[in-house]
Amino acid sequence: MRSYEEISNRIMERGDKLIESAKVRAAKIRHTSYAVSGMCAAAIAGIGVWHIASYVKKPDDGFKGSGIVSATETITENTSSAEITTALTTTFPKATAAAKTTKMTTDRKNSDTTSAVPAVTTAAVQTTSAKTSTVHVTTSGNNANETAIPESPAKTTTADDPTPVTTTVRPVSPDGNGNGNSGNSGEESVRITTSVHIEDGPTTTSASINETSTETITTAKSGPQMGDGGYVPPTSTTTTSLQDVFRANPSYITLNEVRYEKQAEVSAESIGSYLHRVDVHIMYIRENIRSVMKAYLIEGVDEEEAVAVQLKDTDEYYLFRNTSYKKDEAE
Amino acid sequence: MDNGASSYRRFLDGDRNSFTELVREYWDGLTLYLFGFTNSITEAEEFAEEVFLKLYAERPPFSGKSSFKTWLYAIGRNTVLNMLRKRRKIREASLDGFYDVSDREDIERNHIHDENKKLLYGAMEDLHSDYRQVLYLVYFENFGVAETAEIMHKSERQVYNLLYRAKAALKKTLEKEGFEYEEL
Repeated sequence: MRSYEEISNRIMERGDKLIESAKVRAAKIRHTSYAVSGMCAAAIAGIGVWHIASYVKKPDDGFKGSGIVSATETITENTSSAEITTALTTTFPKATAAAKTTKMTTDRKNSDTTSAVPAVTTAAVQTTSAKTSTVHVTTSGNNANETAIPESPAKTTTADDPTPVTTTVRPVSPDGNGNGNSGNSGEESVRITTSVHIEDGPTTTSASINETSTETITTAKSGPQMGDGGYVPPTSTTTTSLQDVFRANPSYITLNEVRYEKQAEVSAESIGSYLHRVDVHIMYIRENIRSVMKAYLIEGVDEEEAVAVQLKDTDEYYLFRNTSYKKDEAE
Repeated sequence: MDNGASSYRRFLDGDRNSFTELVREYWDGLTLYLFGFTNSITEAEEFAEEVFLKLYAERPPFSGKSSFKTWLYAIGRNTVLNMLRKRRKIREASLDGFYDVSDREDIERNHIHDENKKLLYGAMEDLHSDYRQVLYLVYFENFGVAETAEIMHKSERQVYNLLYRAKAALKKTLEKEGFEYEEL
């Protein structure tokens, strides 16, 4: 027969083993729960980031052009007689077959191409000349798509005062059909329309036209066109690209709240690692055209001093220098 | 406060000897009570060991609303019923595990000193389990009807009725065996 002490010891021995195994099991459960909770937290964080990433707004790859930027500028045209090169006396509004051609001289600061178009002679006496021109600037893709449409002749008319010219800059689709927004396609189009209201009446051909515009455009002008006795306002269409606008106009970028201004072109060999995308602000005819381009480090140059920006859709790199950078301060 | 309650309190405070005192005091009575559930003294001992193991490992709190003995027997009853529910079948145990197990005679001899009680306990073996339990609790362990009802999870009216029918069945059994006892 077992004694009570034996029974008690046996029970206590079993109880100690039971308690020990319970402790081990609890420790295992605790450790497992830590690992599982960590994995769950990581999974939740991953799913959260993945979920949020779809809502993160992608950077604008170019100006949206949702609005039409209009600017009015006054072009003072020279009306001195010395600049009149040709004067023809005909009767308006009848256009004659023997219309002669008036050579028009366009003086622009940054003119690329200027074509003289036939001018239909109209009035007899010429005193002043005013120009009405409609400029379509269409930028598509990589290259400047220059289109000169001499569809309506440039017409000169008498005007005593400088004629106000309205310039409208609007983005158009790359195909040039004027559909408006370019979205994020990276291809920008700009339509610039300059119009001058012209009064009817006897006009004379003008000799030379001096424009003080700073735009880099290709201009094709056409002379007055005489249809069935009506008058068609003269227009000139100019097409240029964003790249040309960028090359010809001052630009700047802002990196880490520091302004970098465009300098000269730099060779591709000196380009370092890729930084990130930047908004390039092109100051064009008192307007600010914004385009997204890629910024790179320059070999051997501190990022705070200068960076390189690759012109969109080209292999050209331009130096953008921090104008407020001083080497002593950096050191 | 009875001895069982004070011993259990001291055991909860870390005194392992107090647990041995509890075993010494309540082992036999609990085993015989649990014998009413199984008809096997070895299984009753196993059940009693499980009950004390539960006290040792889980250390359930004793509130003192009843006597410690009543509380212990109630734990024993619940434990046995749970184990029987889990088993559902007769367990065949190896004889090797029973070398140290006491036989029923030893337990009865230690616990039941009165000769009449021995004869009466022997006659109870043929009775129904509930009759055997209620007779044992009331007449052998001297529990009151209320305590017996608490242990057996029955109402006092049920215990009264059960006790009445158990005595009638026992009387019938004893009369069959030629036993005459005027108090029955």
